[in-house]
Amino acid sequence: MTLILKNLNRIINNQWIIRDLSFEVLNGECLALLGPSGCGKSSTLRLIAGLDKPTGGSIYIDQLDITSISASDRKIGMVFQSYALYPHLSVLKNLTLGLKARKLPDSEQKNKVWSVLSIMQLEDFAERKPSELSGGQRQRVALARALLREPNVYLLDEPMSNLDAQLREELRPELRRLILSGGQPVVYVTHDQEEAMAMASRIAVLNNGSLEQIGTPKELYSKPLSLFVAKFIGRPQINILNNQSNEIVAIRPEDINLQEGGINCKLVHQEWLGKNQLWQLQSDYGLIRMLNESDIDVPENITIGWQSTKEHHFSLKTGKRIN
Amino acid sequence: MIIKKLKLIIIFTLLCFSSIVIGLTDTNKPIEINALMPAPFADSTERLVEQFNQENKGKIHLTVTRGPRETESVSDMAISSMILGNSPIDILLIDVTWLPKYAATGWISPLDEWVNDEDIKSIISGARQGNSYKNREFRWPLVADIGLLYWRKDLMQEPPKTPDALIKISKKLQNEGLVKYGYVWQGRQYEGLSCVYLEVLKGFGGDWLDNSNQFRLDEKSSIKATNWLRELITSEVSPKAVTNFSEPEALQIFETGDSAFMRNWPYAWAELQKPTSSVKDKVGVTTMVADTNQTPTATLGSWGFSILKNSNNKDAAWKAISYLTSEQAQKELFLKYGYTPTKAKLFNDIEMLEMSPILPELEKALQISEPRPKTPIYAQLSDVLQRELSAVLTGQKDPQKAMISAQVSSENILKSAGELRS
Amino acid sequence: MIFLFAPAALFLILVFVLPLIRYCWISVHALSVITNLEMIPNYGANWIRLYNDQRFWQDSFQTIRFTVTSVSLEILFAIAIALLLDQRWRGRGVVRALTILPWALPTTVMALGWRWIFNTPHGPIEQIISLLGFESINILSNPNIAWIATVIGDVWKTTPFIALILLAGLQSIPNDLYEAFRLEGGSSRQALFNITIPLLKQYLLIGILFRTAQAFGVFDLIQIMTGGGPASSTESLALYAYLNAMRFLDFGYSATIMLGSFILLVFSCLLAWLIFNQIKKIQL
Repeated sequence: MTLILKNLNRIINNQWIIRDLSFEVLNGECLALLGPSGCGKSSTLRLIAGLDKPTGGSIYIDQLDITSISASDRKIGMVFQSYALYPHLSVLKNLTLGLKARKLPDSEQKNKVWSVLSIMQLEDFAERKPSELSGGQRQRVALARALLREPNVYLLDEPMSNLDAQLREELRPELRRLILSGGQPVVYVTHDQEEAMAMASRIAVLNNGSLEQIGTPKELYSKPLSLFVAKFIGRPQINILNNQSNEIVAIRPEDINLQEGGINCKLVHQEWLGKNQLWQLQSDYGLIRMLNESDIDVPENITIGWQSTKEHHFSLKTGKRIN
Repeated sequence: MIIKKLKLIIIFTLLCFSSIVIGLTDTNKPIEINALMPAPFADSTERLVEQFNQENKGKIHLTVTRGPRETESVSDMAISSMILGNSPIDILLIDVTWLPKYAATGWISPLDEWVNDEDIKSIISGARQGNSYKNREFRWPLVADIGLLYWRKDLMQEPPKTPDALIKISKKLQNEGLVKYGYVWQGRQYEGLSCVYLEVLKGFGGDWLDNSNQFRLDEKSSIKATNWLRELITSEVSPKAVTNFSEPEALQIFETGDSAFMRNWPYAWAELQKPTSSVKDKVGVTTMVADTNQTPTATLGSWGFSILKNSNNKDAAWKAISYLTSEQAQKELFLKYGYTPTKAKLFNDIEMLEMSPILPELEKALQISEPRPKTPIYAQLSDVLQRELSAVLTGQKDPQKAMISAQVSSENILKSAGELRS
Repeated sequence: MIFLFAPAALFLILVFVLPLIRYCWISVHALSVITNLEMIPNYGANWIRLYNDQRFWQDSFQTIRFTVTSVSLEILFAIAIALLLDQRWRGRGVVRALTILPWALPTTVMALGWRWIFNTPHGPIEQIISLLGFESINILSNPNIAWIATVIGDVWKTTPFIALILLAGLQSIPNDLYEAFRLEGGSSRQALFNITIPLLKQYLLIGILFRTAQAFGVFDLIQIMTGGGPASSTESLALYAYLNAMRFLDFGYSATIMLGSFILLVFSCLLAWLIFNQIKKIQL
């Protein structure tokens, strides 16, 4: 199964929310929608789910145009940021409600729910209310509900944002395994580039409702097509050099080396990152971030340089990549 | 800090001292008295009160508390204030039916000190009733109110004298299509229904609570009276809706010319003479119908002033009362507001007779007027009667059954009252 | 801790417990115009009278009838209004403000309005009926149906209040839940019964309890619309107690009626609560 968006638009009050958005998500592929808040990633998700109507463009699942099909008939499995669990119902009833609404026979309801509960290792919590569950457990219930929908497409809207950092990293592989096991296309919305890279095989970076770049994490990192993408992908953030020319030159902190006879700098700030350390340096090119091995001592005179092939050049006017 | 405090103390002491001095020197402050009246009365006496205060400047100052419009709400207000004991009110304008209640509880003071036989004789006979409790005067009348039969001069030569005639004329006019209804009156379950019933009851030769303290509600005449009221509705002489009519609803229908007769109080006459009335100059006033051999009766409803027991300025209060009820004041109130006077002399006043052609009819009605039972438990008795009558009028109960049950209930109320007292 | 509770407790004692105790005390005494307003112990005679008082039981029935019908209708209408006001549509703000109007109007004013509306034959309802060629229904004059008119007045006035409570409840339900349910294939009707109503339950409970207590003590509306008539068919317990205190000056018996109706109210609320809990168990 393939999810295809073709020239999707959404305009509210004369404002572009989504602008000419097209991409494909293949069978068993996880595509991350990445961007700052308000960039249109959640709006895109809602359009795919059918919760909002596009102003123009179409959405296909395989050959089928689903643009005018109602949300309840699209067979979409969605995990909401808030998980949207029914607070007045136990886990069991939370999962049964949808099957009941779709009027599945009682015995089938029971079988399906219990098998999903066992997959999710939630059997012991079947009688609990959502308020009596931990964040991770809630996420699993939300996911279980999506699984029970037996969907054509999975949509996940920042499913990790309500969890603490440690738990997030722990859960990533498990979540990835579960959502990809069925072989459906998955769209995963996040504002965290690290999470996007960890979860998705491809990332679509959105800015102001438009697609900036779509590609594998590696492509986005090594060859950002716009300044926006360059700044958004990679931590610590890429350096933009103050070189007074008619194009923007950017260099990643990890591509900078100590080099004799290079650019003279003064250390402003030093940050320990564990294996690495980050230096903030004052130079003629402005403030420069540099990543070093943590066992390097700060020399008396700091002079730096880099390979020119590592430079990224962007148009001053459009911010698009030049080299 | 200390200086500041000292300053405050000095200022405070000075203030106290000066107020004492002012208090001492101000011994000529007028006596303050307060009267509670229902809103309409407070409004109509406003000029008289002003005049009284002018004439007694420096001696007495009367303030009127404008009570609610609805009479029973005034009663509620007065009672709430009197229960608390130290009421700020000196004078209370009260309805005729409240008097025994207030006198029995000792809330109002007897007027023996100020009223003599001569004074009583100055009042027209009908209005002499309803002012006393246990042979002592407790109230001085301001306005008389009597139940009247309004009839359409343009539709008939003479008003009917008997209940049968009223129905006959009504039906004839209704059949001719001249009026929609024959007779409108007050059939709502409230005090007005008791007033209506008392007139009909006496008209059929019956009585409610007779002079020997016996109820006579289950007698033939009472049942006949009840039957007649019911017949008014079943024969469609009166609209079905009459069972929720109070005075305004009856007046509204009569005013538009939809009815041949109306039972109402004297105030309605002035209303019917207004330019907006469709029956202006077409209305006559007479006394209620009565069976052949029986004299007609008008229920007495009157308002008068009482002095509260706790008042500290009873003499001043009486002075205000006698001013507000004087012949001159009553004349003014009649000419301006149509208030039926209580002073006998005024019924022969040429100016007043010229002004109002119904004055002789009012006098006649007053002479045959009857008060409702004079007992502290009147409200209970009236309530029982209203309930039973309302049940009859709305077709819930058979007249005979209803009157028997009214009789039994009334006797029980009186019995339990008597038992408690002994 | 005790300092935190003391003011509230004191307040409750002053405005609730003390009057109640005083009522209890008065109710075992004769205190009326006949006793010259002196308290004379009559050893439960008031209570025996109450037990044998047909009118008290008739009024109890009428009060309960009024309360149950009014409150149920109010809840139904309020749910509808709240759902409507929860949607987004043009002019919603204005309509929301207008909805509150009946609640903001003094009861006396609106009761007079209804009395005029139901007035025969000049009121608008009778006019319309006669224009349509139907027989006049004389609603306020008919002991069998006059109470319905009082219910209409009450429903008109207090539905906005419940609607407002329910609207607050509706707005506390996250939209996500409805969207999740839609994606699961649920219809909006199913959403109403499976999400909205269950999540509104506590708000409904507040509304029902509050209104039940209030409707049970209905006085001004009935006093003005019908005065308890015709044939006492609309008289409420509060009206009867008022009659005894203020008209008959029988404070002893009036206190007994008030306490009697208080006991009835407590029983009714308990019953309502039990029924409510039963319903809660049955649903899903």
